[in-house]
Amino acid sequence: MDCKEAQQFAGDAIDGSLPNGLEEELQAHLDKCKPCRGEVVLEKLSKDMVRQNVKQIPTPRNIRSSILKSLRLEFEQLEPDQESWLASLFPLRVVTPALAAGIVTTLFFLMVSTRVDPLYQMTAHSSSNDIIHQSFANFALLQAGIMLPAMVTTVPESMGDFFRKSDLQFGVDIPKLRNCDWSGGSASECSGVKRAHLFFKIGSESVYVFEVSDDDALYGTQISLPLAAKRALAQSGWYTDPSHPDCNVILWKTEEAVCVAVSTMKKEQLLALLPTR
Amino acid sequence: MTPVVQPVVSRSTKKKHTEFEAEALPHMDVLYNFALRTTGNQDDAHDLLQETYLKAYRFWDKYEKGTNIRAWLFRIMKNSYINRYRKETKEPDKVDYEDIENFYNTIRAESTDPNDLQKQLYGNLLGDEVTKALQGLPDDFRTVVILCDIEGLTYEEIAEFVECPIGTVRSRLHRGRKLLQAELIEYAKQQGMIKDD
Ligand SMILES: [Zn+2]
Ligand SMILES: [Zn+2]
Repeated sequence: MDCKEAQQFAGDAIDGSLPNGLEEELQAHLDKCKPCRGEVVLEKLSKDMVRQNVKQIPTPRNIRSSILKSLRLEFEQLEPDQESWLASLFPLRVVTPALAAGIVTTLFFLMVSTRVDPLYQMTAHSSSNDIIHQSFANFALLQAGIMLPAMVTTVPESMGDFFRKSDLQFGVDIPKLRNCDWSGGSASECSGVKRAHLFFKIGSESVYVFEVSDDDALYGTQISLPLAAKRALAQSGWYTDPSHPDCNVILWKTEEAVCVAVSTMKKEQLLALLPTR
Repeated sequence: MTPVVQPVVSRSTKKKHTEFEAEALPHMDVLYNFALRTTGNQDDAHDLLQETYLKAYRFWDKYEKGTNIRAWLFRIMKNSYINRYRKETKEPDKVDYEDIENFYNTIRAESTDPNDLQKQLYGNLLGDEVTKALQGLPDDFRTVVILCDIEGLTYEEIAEFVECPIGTVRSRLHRGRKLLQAELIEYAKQQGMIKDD
């Protein structure tokens, strides 16, 4: 190896990218050639100076958020009626639990930024243990990201397993909603009443279903039902609330549960989606 | 609640958006640092970074899955930078390499330990001066120095980033570092840290 080559590879030696086999050759040359040794030292010095003095810094928060905003604007231009970031998740086919957990976490952040419908303004069912009131309130909590599904899946039927393991003591009805992109579920207990929460995403629409055992709904003291609803459920198993225009909620009853569906959709749309029994 | 009337939303667009976010956003810091070192100020770095991401978003279909996304983003940034600032990228011919050599010759007898040398030469040099000197390098040289010495990329990666053969990367790096030394020595002299004989 001559001086020209040695100096050419001085950088490689420092950067640890010396081609195989050249190491010994270079060392042999450096051992006997002072100027080339100097070259290596000088190059190393330059690298060290840069490394020590010019640090990597994280992207400033305001710059990062401005870029995210501009990307979102770009996205909305392509999707003029984009309802929320949430929607961008739907194409994901969630199969693994790890991914599902990730999605749930992501959902939280995305839902927080989602516009919350003024559900709390609904005054028709203001009694706090009214089942319709509770369903609306829960739907708002879901949309606000305060309430999170414990599991999500693209195969709604698989929520059956989840609820069976949740020890709810009533059979949860999992409506087969057509064209459902994914769904999520969670179980809770409050004031001795076990509750199932189901969440469905269909295109850009959301459907939330709140379920309690029929004993709790019809005869319990913790949950109340409008009288008209009680009658209709007993008669036909279905109830929609015609007296309040702002209240597009659908109730139905199975052998073990009373279910309440709240949706971003119109009542008629939602009714059409629910399978008739 | 008011009913929401939705047009048919294309799922492919949503998919694209999700994919883009997952793939491209994790590289923001690397790109930002490069933009910052290249433009030398936060505002221009912001503009450059934003332009890069918007272009990448628009041309996401052109990105070949499984290839080096960082390199792809970087090339978009590099092109944006060139278009935006239209800087000359040729090597300056005024640098006095001899000056560096001579200088080195006068001190090498005393020490060959780079740490000692650094203390001796630039003991009082501030980080700002190094940043400034780096920024003063011609684009092509600064680019490889940043990618190698700050971002820690391998020669192969750098070659992919700048779309040049490895030999070119090697020589630009070598010369870039020399130019940087020249700048620093010049500065040290001005500050009286080194005697100018
Ligand atoms: Zn030599
Ligand atoms: Zn009502």
